[in-house]
Amino acid sequence: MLNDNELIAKFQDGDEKAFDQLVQNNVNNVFGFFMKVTRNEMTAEDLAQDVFMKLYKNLKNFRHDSNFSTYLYRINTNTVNSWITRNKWKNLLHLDQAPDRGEYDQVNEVEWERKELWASISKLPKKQREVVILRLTNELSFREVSKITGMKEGTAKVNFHHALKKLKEDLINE
Amino acid sequence: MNNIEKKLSKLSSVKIRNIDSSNFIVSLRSRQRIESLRKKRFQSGVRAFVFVALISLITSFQLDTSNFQYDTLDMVAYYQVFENEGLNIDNVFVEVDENDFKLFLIEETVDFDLSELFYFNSFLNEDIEG
Repeated sequence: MLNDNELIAKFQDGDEKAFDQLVQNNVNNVFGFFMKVTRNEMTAEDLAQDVFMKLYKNLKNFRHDSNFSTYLYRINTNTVNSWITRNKWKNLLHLDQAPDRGEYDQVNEVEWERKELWASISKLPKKQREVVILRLTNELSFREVSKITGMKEGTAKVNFHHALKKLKEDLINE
Repeated sequence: MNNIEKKLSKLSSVKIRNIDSSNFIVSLRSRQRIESLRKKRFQSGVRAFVFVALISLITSFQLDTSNFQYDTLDMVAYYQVFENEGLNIDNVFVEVDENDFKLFLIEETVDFDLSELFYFNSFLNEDIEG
């Protein structure tokens, strides 16, 4: 079985089936990433398709300067960022329409907290949001986060620290 | 990982089922086809628009040039000829000899009937004898 880099090389030579194989190898990781953020299978699948559409368009220019998984994470992060920006107001409205916390039982309590958490994450500045998403959803190290986002490891740590502080304040205030 | 990070990590965890990759690829391919059709439709729309704009531009330039030519020729409308005093048709015919004018009309006329030919003949004989 060919690895991702060999499949990319074959695709760059015009083999369309190599791309299908590449999708097959990575679809569950990409889908999982979006499921953690959106918590909705349909939205996650749509976003995963967006990622592979972008990949199809740009893969011919992939130079193997960075690792393919890093490249894919970068596309994932950009896609999720656009999605959050697009749905910021919609998500906030959705949160407002939710019933009072007192009406929830134990199971829904967790779901409520989750919604609050993602609403707070969507309010974070872009860089902080990227670091938080990569750390929380994929449990990546700061070194990996810095490779994906292009910021220095120290900067990633500082951004994460500030983001956590804001999220903590937000969740306590709620 | 500190406490808040652990809590957030726990909150963001979710049960994820594996996606059917062959179905996913089929829908991805159909989406690609739809997008490429949309792109082609947009491109042909732009091309048609450019073509129509170009033709309109060329036509408008041509109309402009032809007006310019008419202006420089100083042409007047048909009815304006008769309003012009310098071109009084009566003045033109006063100076013309009647016989010359008849001859001119005969020479310029292509269709003769028999009576006209006889008249023409007698007129010429008269003229020679006279």
